[in-house]
Parts: sequence; C-alpha cells; structure tokens
Amino acid sequence: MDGTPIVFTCTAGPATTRRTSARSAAPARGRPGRHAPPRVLGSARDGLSAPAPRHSIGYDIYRDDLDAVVDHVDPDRTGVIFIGHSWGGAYAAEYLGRHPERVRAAALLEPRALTEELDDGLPNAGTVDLADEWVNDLVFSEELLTPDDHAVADLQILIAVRDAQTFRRQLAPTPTLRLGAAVIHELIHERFYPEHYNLAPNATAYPGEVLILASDDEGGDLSAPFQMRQLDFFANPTLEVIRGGGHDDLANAQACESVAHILQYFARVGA
Amino acid sequence: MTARAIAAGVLALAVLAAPAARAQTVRFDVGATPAFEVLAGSGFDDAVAPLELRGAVALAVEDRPLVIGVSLTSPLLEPGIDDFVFETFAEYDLHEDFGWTVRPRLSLAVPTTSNEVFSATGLDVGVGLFGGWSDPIWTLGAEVVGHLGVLSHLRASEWGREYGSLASDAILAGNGYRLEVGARAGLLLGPVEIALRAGWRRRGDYSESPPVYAMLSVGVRWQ
Repeated sequence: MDGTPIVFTCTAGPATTRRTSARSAAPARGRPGRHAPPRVLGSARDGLSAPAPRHSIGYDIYRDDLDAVVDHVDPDRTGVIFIGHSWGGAYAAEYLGRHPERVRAAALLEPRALTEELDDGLPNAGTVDLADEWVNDLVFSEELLTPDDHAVADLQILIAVRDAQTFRRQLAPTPTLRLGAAVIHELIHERFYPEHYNLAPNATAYPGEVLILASDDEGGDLSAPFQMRQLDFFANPTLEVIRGGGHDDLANAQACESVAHILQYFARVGA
Repeated sequence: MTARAIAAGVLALAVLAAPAARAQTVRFDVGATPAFEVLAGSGFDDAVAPLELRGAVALAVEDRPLVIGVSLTSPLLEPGIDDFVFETFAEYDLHEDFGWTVRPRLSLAVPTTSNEVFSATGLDVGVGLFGGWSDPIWTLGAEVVGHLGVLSHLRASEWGREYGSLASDAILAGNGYRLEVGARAGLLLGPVEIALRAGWRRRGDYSESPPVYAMLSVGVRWQ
C-alpha cells in the first residue's frame, strides 16, 4: 500500500455504481432533473459531469467513465488497484482486459456473469413470480406515484430490492442507496449491454494474480460454483471462499473477512 | 384516529353504500325512480388481479341519466385494507335518447398503499369521455380517461429509513398520473350486466407494468 490509487467499483448493477460514485443518497422528497443520470466524473461546478440523456445510457459511457476515473487518479500511469463487488467486479474485469498495463492488482468479489451466455444460464435469471407480494406492491404503488422521473422511479424500484433476490443467503440487510432506475429500466429491456456481450474477452492479457472472493451460498447464483466457471477469463486467478454468508455479505456483514483476504492478496502481489 | 381506522371506515362505508361503479356501460333507462347497479370485477388494472366492487345510482336529470357511484379496488392477491383505491365518480349522458351518445366523467379517488419500503395515501382527480353506441341491451364505444395524482403523502418504513436511505416522510405534489385510451362494452341480460373495459395505459417512462388494462365486471341492476 504505497499510495497506489484504489478504485472501488460497487455492487447492485451499473446504476448503483454510477450513483454511489457520483452522489450521496438523497431523501424521497425532491425531484431531480428528468432523465438525468449523473456521470461518475465531476464538472467544475458541482462535482458531476453533464447528465447523460436517458436513451444514450449504455455500457459504453460506463467504460468511458472508468477510463476517465483511472486517468484522473493515476495521471502518471503507475497503475491502480481495483476492488469490485458484483457488477463492479465485472466492470473492473472489463477494464483489466482493455488496459492490463495500468492495473497493479484486482480483487473481485463475486463478479457478475461476464458474458450474456453465462448470465442467461443462471438458474434465477429474470425469474419473477407474478403472485409475489413485492410484484403486486410495485404495480399497485403506481396508483400513487408515476415512475416518470428518477426520484420516483428509484423509490419504486426499492420495493423490489428487499425481496426480488431472496434466493441469495443474507446474514444482514444491506444498505441500499438510490438505485438509478433509468439504468435498471435499460437493463430490464436489454438495451444496456451490446448484443452477445462479453465483458472480459481480453482479461487474460493481465498477467498478474487476480483475487476472486466468493461465498459458499448453495442457493446463490454468483457463489463459488459459478465463479469457478469464470476463472478461465483470467490468466492467473485465485478463488478464495468465505463461508457462511451470501453475495451481499461479502461487502457488508462479512466485509472484515473480505478485507483480510484482500490484504493478504496485496501482500502476495506486492501492491 | 389512525390511518388503519380511517381505512376501515372507508371500507365499511363502501360496503354499506354497496352500489359503486367505476364506469357504467349500458345506458341506464331512467324514469321517475332512480336505478341502481352493483358490480364486481377483476382483470388487470391497478394490480395483477384486482378485486373491484362498484355501485351506482342513476338519476334522471333533464331526461338523461346522471350516474353517481363509488368503487373500491384492492389487489386480490394481497387482500387487506392497506392497499385500495376508493373512488367516487359521476357520469352524464349528453344525449336524450338511446343510440349514439357522449358521456363525460369526473372522479375523485383516494388511493392508499403499504409495502415494505413505504406507506402512502393520495388524492387523485380523474376526467374522462366515453363515446359510442348505447341501446337498452348493449353498448360499445371508446373511452379516454386521464387521472392526476394531486397529492401523495409517503411515510417510509423502518427498512426504508434504515436501509433504503429514505426520509421519514414526504409530501409529493403532482407525482401521479395515468392516461387510458380504450374500449368499453356492455351487455344487459335482464337485470344482469356484463361489462368490459380494455385498452392502453400510460403510467410513466420507467413503469415496468404492462401498458394495458382489461377489466371484466358482472353486475345487477334494479329499479
């Protein structure tokens, strides 16, 4: 830990990564600008760059954002360290393949499926039971709140957060910041990623060790058995399993254990 | 008085009032005495499978039926008094006789909902227009309905506050609307009316609900 910049890429999909990178949580009241997801990078005035129009939201602007973040924190190009959880893990893996020379270490905590094919093959991918209470709650809430701007849409999507992925083990509730419903909307309608995407086609170009942390959650979609299938994307991966928790716990309830694994990894690779 | 007690009172009032109607279909044949109708329906509208109870009374005003009613809609898959829409409405046929008719509509509704993230109560104003053919037996026509949520009061749950980063409560103005364009059809078999409303609905750019509504109701009329 010699001052090397660490870039954290967050969980819960690109919406949260962007949101948490850019802006702290806002209360329910108030109405931010319509169709104005914040950019990760800052502008001179408010610390945020210009909002992206809704219909331009796609993986490409996230890729450009991350490139700019790394350029910003590592202007001398000495290399950065990535720590990424869930979607953020895949986000970091994608960077790894494009700029292996700019990465000194990468710790990925249950990265999401790196390809569309793997994602489609997940047992719980896209399953929604219309009889579930949260589904009815979400639909019925539109009697009072029209999801026509970010503040309202974020609030409504929050109804799904608690219960939509109950197949995952969870030791403790996970704090959830505003979700960036515009991005979730694009994901649901399969407009966010390019067709037949592969987020890490060239990640093997990174020769160093990549740490992959996973839970042993038997019902979890992204836990250790799935991560074993993703090891081939990397040249020198190490899979370490943290027992007893689930996907979100790696970054919350079991964060201390995760940090211990990551520090040992840093010591091994000299980061 | 708690919100739950108020809700129970509203529910009791609706049941006692019995007749209620979100929208009549076959034109009432009103005379010197008022006509009544009670309907129950379901389909896809305010929820995946709502239960809608409606009732109405039809009065003769200038020889045309003025229909005043109430409706109570609640998600059938999640019965309870935390989630419902209570609506009062009035419709008036602009034509004196059976045949082609135009029927404007005005409504006032109190929707309320409760979920693991927040509870909310609101006030909704709706205007609509039905145009089509209506004889004593059947009706077929088109409708355009617009609803505006005037006010909503949100109260975050403990989970919403602790883990969802929400303020404890908020009052939002103008945060709800929906536009409906569709067809309305009805068939009167003796005292029994079968009514259908179906069409396209818009509820905001980020709505993940299907942009359609379709409700089938069965009711009884008497005079």
